[in-house]
Amino acid sequence: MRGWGLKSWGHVPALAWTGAFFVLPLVAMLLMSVSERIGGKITLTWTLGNYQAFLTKAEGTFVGALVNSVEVTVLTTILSVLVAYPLAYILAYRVPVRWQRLVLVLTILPFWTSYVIRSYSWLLVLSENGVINQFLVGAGLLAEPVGMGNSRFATVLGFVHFFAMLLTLTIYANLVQIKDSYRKAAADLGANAFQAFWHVTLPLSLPGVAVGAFLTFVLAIGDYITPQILGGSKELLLPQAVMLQLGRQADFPLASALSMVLMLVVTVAFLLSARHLKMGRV
Amino acid sequence: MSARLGAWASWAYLGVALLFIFLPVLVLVQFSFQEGLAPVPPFDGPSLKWWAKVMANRKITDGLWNSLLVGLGSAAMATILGFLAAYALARRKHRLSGLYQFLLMAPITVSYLIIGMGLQITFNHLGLGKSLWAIGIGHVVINLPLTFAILYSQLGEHQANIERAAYDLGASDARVILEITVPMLWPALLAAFFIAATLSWDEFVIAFLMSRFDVTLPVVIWSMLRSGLSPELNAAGTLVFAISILAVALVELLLWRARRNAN
Amino acid sequence: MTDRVTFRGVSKSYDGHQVVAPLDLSIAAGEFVVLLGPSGSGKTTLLNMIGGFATPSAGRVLIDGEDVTDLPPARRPTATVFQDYALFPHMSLAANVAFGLRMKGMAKAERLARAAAMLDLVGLAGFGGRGVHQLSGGQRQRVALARAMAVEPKVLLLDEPLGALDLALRRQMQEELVRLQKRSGATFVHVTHDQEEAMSIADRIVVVNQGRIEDMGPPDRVYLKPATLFAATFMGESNIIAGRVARVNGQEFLVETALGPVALRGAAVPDDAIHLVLRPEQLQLTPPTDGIALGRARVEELSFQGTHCRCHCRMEGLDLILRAPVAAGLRAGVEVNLYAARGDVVVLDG
Repeated sequence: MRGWGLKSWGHVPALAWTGAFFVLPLVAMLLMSVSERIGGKITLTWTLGNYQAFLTKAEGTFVGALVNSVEVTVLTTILSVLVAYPLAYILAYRVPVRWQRLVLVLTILPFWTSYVIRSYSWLLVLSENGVINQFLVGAGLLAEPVGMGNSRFATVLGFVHFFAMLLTLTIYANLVQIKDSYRKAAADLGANAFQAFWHVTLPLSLPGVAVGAFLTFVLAIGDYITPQILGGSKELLLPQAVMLQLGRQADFPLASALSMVLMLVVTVAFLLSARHLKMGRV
Repeated sequence: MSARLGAWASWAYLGVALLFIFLPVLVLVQFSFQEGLAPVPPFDGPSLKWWAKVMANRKITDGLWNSLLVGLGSAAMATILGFLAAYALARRKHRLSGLYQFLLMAPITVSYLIIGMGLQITFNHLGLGKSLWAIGIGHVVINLPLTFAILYSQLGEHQANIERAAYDLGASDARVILEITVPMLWPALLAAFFIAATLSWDEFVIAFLMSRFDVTLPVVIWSMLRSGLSPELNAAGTLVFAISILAVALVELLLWRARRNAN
Repeated sequence: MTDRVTFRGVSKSYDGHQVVAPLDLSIAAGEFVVLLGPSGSGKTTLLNMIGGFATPSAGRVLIDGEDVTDLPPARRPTATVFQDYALFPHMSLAANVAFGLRMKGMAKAERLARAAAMLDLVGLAGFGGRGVHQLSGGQRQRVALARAMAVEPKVLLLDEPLGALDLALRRQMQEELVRLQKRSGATFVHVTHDQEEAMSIADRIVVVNQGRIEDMGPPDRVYLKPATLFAATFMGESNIIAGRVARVNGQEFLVETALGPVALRGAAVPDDAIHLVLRPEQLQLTPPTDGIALGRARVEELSFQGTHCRCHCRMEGLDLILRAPVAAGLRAGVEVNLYAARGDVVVLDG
């Protein structure tokens, strides 16, 4: 009678998949990070040499890459929130309800361009002959065109473009769930528009901000494409360092150690934002 | 007075934001119709020369099919696994439910690069080769948390009551799942499948690490990019964009119909 | 005649927390029984144990003398109307109503005809082709009812089905429930926390509190002669006067209360702590035959209720609530003498 008994085993395939293709690889990588290459063969020696190499090798290039990564990611997250919040707010409260879906779809339309292509497009926009330089020189604001690609500015700009769309979505979804009556009650009790926003709407929308900001942080700090295409090789971010070890050197142990460091940073971010989420609820 | 200023500022901000969001897309599309060699102003088109080149490029068309294959296949797998897990965990209290949910959601906190590298190390060690299968396996890993979360959120107490009503009226377990749960969740299943397919279709780093000969479209575009800027890339990018938009429109239509039928 | 539903020593615990204490209960065929109690009292658990959605921790549940304790919902001759209606959102109304018949293997033409007839019965003739989302709350309620009744259950279980409806609609649906129950002859077991609803539809009310049956009987009996203090306060307003049996003299006894001594008829044990219960409408302004004088009271607050005035009366050491006729013309601040008929006073232990 109890049919297939799905309720008792339904979660097993997904857990097996996650175990085999996620947990196991992470364990393999952890072991790899304490292994050594000895004569072209990788042997598990329980060494901490790779982590030492992270700290000391190549005159601190790797520590520098970590610092760069954290700086770029934090900057990206803050700027994305600052760009996205007003946009989500305008969408939720200023745009008439029957237009909201259309404007929302429009706002995230470029989401559907390929990620690689999006970075490439920014490269075109920012290049010395690109439209921005054309405009600035044409308007007399610049005497000479300036190449804006291959810089931290370009990396952050590319990131903010993508993650502002993501954050607009999460914040908008949160804002439309906040009942109108809260703001009305605040106004009724004598709060002006800004006070109502600051004491009522903003605290209630923090969970949406926290979720979006956390996703932004995780996705941005682990991304290889945007810094590689837009940032170029002037400064190295941690994912680029990892890919360098994988590609040219095939140094899996060092790449694994660098990845573990990257994971550690994300875990710290998770713990921080988890606490922030709780604060938002209070 | 200040209200009107606020409204004006709102619309101005919306306009500037939309310009920022659309600028790269507009440049991308416009210069895919460039005549000359450089996809930057001045615009000397329109010309379909680069479009013709893209359509004739076997690497691009192969990559397109590979991406579609991996995207649809891995999304189907992620949706099925996500549904089974969400159903089991939402409908029965398991002793380790908390741990199971944590494990299923964990991949969302780990960078794709790390997931891809871990898989590469594991596959190397086991002597498994790089292939579209390997890419698909990785894409199921990154999409499973999303499909699980979407479907789990749709299996609440109200839906449980609907299933109870069906049991009460004499339906067997199997019939409840096939005739009540799945049709009831159809919009959510469709949305989960579509999100998974899009993310897989666009995913680069795992596809890059897990592929050798059969590559997906993002990897093809990546390798084209290494030989410099070209309107051919614009055309390829616009093509990808157009396909994505068509898919979005199709899914919106399907979802709209599913909701209308439910109404 | 065997009872339709029988609970034998049934109890239920969740994680060591007892929600239903061991109890016995019988429900006769064709009876309209209302399980009345506050939220968390265990009344819905009782209903679920009849329907098969909850299994007793101990004891047996019988339907028509047959032990159904271990049967799943599908194999019990019961059907449930859920609080949130639980209509299948992806099916038409006709398909919803016909679902149970389809599960029984009835042919399509026949079951659709039956579904149409059921929709007709609940006043939704011609609605069969519509979708669930096109309906108002009251209409959904009717569809849920039609769907459950279509399988001709011996026992229809209703879990606070009128909770989401507004007052006027609730009154209307209460009447319709009674009409449908009498017409179908099925046994209805209805759960609610609304005592007015319970009184207006039930053949018999079962008052449940903290997993125990506090009182059980026809509405008028439960209202006029409640068996426990809880029943007295939950079934409408009551004035509770604490007292102590001072003297017993054959078939009469004297109770010491804050209002002074009150002489009553009946049996009592000297020195027992007891409570006297009087409904607000049982307090009178003129002495009735065989009446008790309760003393002088001052009307503190007064609210007009249409058919009567509800007054807060302050007395020496005690406040009472009085329902006075509008014609009595009471005003706040006036003083009145309060009386009660001796036969109206309910005496409860503890």
